[in-house]
Amino acid sequence: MTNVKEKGPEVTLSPPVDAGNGLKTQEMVINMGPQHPSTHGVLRMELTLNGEIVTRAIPHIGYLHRCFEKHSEAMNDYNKVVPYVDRMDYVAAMNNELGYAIAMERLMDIQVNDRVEYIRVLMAELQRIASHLLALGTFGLDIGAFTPFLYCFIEREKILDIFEKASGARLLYNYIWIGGLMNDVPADFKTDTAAFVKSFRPKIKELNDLLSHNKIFIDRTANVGVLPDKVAINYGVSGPSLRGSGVAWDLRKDDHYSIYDRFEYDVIVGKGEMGTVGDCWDRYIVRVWEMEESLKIIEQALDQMPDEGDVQEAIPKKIRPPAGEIYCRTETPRGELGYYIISDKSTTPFRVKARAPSFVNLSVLPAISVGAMVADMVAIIGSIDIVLGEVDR
Amino acid sequence: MVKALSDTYLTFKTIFTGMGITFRHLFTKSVTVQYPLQRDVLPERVRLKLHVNIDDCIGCRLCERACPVECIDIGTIKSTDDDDLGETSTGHKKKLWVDKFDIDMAKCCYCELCVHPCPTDCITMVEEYEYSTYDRNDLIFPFSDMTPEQIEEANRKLEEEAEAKRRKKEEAMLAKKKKAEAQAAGGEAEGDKPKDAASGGSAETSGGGDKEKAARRAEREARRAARRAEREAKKKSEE
Amino acid sequence: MQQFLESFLPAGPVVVFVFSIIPLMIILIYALFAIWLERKVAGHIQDRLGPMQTGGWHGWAQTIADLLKMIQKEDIVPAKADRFLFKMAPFIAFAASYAAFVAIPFSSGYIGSMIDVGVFYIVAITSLLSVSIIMAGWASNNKWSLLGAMRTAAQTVSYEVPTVVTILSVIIVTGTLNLMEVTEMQTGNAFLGFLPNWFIFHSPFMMIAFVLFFIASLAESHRVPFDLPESESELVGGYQTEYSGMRWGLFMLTEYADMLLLSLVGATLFFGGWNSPFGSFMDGPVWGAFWMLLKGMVLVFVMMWLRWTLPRLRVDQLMNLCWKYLIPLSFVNLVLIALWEMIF
Repeated sequence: MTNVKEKGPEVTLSPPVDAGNGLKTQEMVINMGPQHPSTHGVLRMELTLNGEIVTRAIPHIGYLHRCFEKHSEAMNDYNKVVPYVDRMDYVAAMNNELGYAIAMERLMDIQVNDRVEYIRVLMAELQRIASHLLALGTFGLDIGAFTPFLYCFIEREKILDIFEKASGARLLYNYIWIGGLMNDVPADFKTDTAAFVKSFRPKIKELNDLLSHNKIFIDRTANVGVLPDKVAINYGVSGPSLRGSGVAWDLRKDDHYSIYDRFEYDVIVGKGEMGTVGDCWDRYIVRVWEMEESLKIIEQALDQMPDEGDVQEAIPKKIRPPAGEIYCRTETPRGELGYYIISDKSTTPFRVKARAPSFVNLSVLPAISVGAMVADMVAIIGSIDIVLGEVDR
Repeated sequence: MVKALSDTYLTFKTIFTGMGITFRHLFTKSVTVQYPLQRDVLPERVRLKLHVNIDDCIGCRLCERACPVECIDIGTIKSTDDDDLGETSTGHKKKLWVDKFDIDMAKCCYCELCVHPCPTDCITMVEEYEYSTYDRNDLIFPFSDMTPEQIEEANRKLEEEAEAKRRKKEEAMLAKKKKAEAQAAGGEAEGDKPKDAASGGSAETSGGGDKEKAARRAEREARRAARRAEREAKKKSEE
Repeated sequence: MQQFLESFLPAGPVVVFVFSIIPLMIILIYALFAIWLERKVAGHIQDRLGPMQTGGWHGWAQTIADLLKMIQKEDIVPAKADRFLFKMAPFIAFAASYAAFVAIPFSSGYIGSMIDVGVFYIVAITSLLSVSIIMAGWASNNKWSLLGAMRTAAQTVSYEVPTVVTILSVIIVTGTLNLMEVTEMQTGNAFLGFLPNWFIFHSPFMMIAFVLFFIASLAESHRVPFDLPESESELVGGYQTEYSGMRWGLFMLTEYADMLLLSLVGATLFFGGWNSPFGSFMDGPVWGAFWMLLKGMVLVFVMMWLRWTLPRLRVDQLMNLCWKYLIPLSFVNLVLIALWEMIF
């Protein structure tokens, strides 16, 4: 018995087995990450391998821990937390801000006007597309297809251009404030967004032709890392990873936050077209079609958006919420992002806890990766689409 | 067998579709911006380097307080009564010497939270993004235009004034005492209290109408645009 | 060629040296060009530009700059590595692919050595490559390198079978293993008056043989979709993980040299080698070299094009493809070509 003692759980290797010809074989422990190209940041996977087959996978996290929650408690203004919220899931900052803003507004009982709501929804859905594009691109990269990654990035850049025009930043926006927005959108926001929607539809088809329906890609992802719906629910998986397992659970529909009930769109679920329900390909294709649904929401929101309205009228002069607590959850591109905020009636938050979807989704990894190969591990991590900034916070 | 054949067909079909797409892209225009040679036109609101127009700063420290990463460091010296610091371009009376206004751009998180509360719009984010240095300390940008002599002078003056005030107060106390002693015989009397002249902060305390708010914001935007244009003109003329 | 050199150089070892250095020059210049081309192809396929600055015109000197950088780099050997094997592996890899070029007829006037078992020699000597990769993987004392090396061993051994069988199907037609003779048999316009007398047009089965050969050669040279030994998104860098500087550069050079080698073998066997596609027009030893390299480069370009289009197979699927599809197909094809030869 060999014991490999490291930080974290103790890994016990199976005893060496005689292969019959005088040679002995044994399992091998291999560290995948934190400097591995496909762990989407600084995740460390401790894999126990039998040849190339994974017999155990233990994720180690914390390499990007930045004390988000403790930081928030040091901010003497609730609005100062917003830049920190951006930095949790740094590829979907708008959605993070939206969740925080909605939580605070519920706590303080602030009503924002329609224009603010529509702009927020537009931004959140554009951000969802941008985030999914990144997820799909890097997933392709993990499988070995380099080019779709850059095609996705070209489209993502267009969305970031729209964000930059509105907020001035390309990645960490600090745009959605408690009670309103930092700025009103620029005059050409509507035309820009409409032009993007128009130009983006053919690109989804192109992505499908180039990657989604490529036979090699299907072979690599279908029937790999199957996440049955029961397991997914038991682990608290949410977002596209849950919907890929065939569970139609979308907080935009089920939790009625913001003004999402004014739009018509479908909740995409995995159907197991290429293999089993809940495999990597299903999780992948759910994201592809969710971009299409987001486009639908954007189109409707552009039509309905009022032209008049002060986006800062509801911003309180001094943010001093009544003593109390609130848990508010929203659907980010990665799943259910919940904020649990406790106020002690001062201007400093007493507690800001974030329920990060990536963190919860990551926990399912050991359950679905046993029996996979090393190459499949990469596909599974990619299909769960974790952002380590959010996992570690 | 049928499955093997259909798989083979699918493989070749999808590979050729993919190759067709990549071949088309071989001849589409590239999206690359050859950065040092070409530059993107940045949008108006772009958030880059912080800039302080120190002539307009009244030293209210609202930006310092708004910063989530504490990258702004402001030091102020009270002005004496005989000093006239003038007014800002927005019509605010300046009452404080700003002897220190350091912004550490290495710490800055570019959130622009400091820009919005400024009552005189003197702190802005400008379109300058090529300021990397070899030393981290070079990223601390001092904006105060006061020389050490001036600071010393201001401090000295303040001390002198304080000294003078103290002396005056002592004299007044002494006089009062004497008066009181003198009056103790005569009867009861009350001493005058000097009135505190400090105003209650720079922020206007207005419930305000939305219109008023919007108008103020519009005005602020216009001022910002004008300042931007001015800066650009200056830049051009320098070139 | 040898006579030409002997006319102005003192006979003996110098001529032999100059004679044998020619393929090396071709490989080096080709590698500089091919790596630049790869970057350009990748760039333009991905709507980028690729290198643009180094050297002025479209970054033509980028590879030279990289080469100079790699030469200057520190030669790092991991502390726990097997130093001798670790240092030897890149040289053996390059020597193997360089040695294989000796049997390639670059033009009607130049072939390194007129060996009668040319194709057989190439197949045999390229097997050394897998030995060197296993050496590199084992000596690095890195688990990722080892995984890459084991994959290579399995991959190369498996894919040698379809390669050899498809080559064999050409040999059935030619009756010789000497690549010069194989090329000479493809001179002229025979088929339908305008098609060149290339073996690819010899029979429909020859086309299938070429497709099988091309797929197998992709796997032999470890190119996408079969780049499992060094798959950077799974195995970090496979057997190259611990290498840096010029030793890594030699592995890179080997990879590109291998691409060219297999493309040239493919061009010789199926596309008439140094024969001009226009009959006697633009023919001759110098044009021959041009055509040969052009045909090789076209195949290299297709390899690059595939690389920037396709994802990567998994190791079990790779074996699946080889043993369940390529090998049976190539054997059936061999029989069919033999029958075609008997009938016509």
